[in-house]
Amino acid sequence: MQDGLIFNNNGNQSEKKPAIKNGVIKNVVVGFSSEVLFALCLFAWLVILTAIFFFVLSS
Amino acid sequence: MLRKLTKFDFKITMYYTGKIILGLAFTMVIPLIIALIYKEFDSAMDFIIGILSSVIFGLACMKFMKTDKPPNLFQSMIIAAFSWIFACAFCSIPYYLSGHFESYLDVYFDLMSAFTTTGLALIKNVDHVSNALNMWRHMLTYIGGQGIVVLALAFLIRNTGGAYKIMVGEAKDESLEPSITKTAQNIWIISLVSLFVGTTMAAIAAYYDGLSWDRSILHGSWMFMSAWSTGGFAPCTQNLSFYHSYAFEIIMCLYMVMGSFNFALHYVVWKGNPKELLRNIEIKTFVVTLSITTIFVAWGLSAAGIFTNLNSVLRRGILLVISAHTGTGQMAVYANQLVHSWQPLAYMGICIAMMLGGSAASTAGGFKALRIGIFFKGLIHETKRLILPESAVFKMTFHHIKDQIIESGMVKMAGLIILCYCFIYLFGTVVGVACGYPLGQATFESISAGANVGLTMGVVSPSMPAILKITYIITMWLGRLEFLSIFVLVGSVGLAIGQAFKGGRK
Repeated sequence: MQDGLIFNNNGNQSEKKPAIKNGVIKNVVVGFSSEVLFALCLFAWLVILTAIFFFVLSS
Repeated sequence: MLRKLTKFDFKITMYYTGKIILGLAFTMVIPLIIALIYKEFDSAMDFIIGILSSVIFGLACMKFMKTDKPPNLFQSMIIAAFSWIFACAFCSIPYYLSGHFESYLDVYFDLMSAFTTTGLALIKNVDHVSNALNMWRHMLTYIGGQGIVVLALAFLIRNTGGAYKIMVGEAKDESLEPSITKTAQNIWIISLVSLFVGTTMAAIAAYYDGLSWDRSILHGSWMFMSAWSTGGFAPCTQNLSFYHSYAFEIIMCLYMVMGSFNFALHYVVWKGNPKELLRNIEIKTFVVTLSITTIFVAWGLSAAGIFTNLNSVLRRGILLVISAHTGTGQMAVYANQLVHSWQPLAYMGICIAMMLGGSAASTAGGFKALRIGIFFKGLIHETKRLILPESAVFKMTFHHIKDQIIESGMVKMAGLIILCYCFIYLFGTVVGVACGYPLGQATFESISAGANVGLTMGVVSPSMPAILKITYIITMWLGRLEFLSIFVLVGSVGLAIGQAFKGGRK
């Protein structure tokens, strides 16, 4: 079966969506967002580390 | 018996080098368009000359050195190392004609710095460089980051059995797909998608902070290319400080970190497996070493009381740690501040971060997190072997894309490459000290060049001795191609000269 083909299923006509293309875009968006999220969490961790040393050593 | 250079080796090397130069000639069209849009006709002429020279050389090599045979591993190593020398020579034409450099050596230094994504610059009056030349400088770091051989593989070299070997020669030895052309194309798809998103984010931040819309787009794209390819060039002398924008700095840090990730990791995560980020040995190693170096810098700066508030420590200190560890070299502090104000512990933290670098098969330089991870796991393995009874059977694994068993060959190779990096750091330092620079500055600058970082304490300038410029050019080149392909090239040329000398005496 190919993307976009109209086919019958027990008399009901339906159109197969281009699932592969949608899947690729979804994966890229999820992958890119998870990398951004990971980097932001890493920055938050570095801020905490720095804050601990700054407030302990400056006081 | 040692492999000797033959006429066919030379022919196949020139054939593929011609293809790579031809590929680079096409990329010069983009700065040419920028020059025409901004009516920079002098720059436009420089690029036309550059394009014509590269096309003539590329076509001549492809016509007169034509071969259908794929290169073997030996030839591939030579092609990778050789093509970088020629690429620098041809891409330097618009640089040289621009009049922003004191000598051709300075031009070649800047070119090698761009291609190796180092970011050390000898360009004069950078604030008044044309938009076209600025675009070309940043494009070169972007192309260099992905690998110029990868560029040629993705678009020019097809159905080549030996293509993978050339890519290995360029230290991009991760195969994302069974087809090497597809692998190269995927590396470029990842980079181009990031270019679009990153430029948009940076341009919005720059526009919000007061730049006109067209300058926002230009500066956004330049600074993105500089961060993603862990290059470190900037269109202004003040580098990141020019923008005075928290948002802009966070976006740059984000792309420095993402740019230092392995392309294979990007590919797996973008294929729908984000959990790989939490399991990968490179990411785990990177988080640990980044945390340790952050502690050094935070401790050093806080104890010295240089900055009175946390905000300054983060924007000056921690940004610099991220920039150093990812091998980027974008700075929000001045070289003079580093020399005179920074406490030794903070200085040491930055040096260690530069030495370690980002991930393998990424745009970053340095030891690489994969090697550090494997090396330490290997050490633990050997210690266990000595402690446990001789009859005990155990194996050590690591996770990088898939679970892999650590073999002694892997640990040995990782150790060897780390040793080679230490040697070039030491070599650069010795030459720097011999040229009269203080030990601290010479060490910092040598690590920065060898690990392809680009942070500077002021040693790198047009007035530094020619011998030091040549030393840094060699260490940048060695560091980027990770030694092996250059050793093969130098060994083969040495052998050929030896043969010719012997022949002459007979």
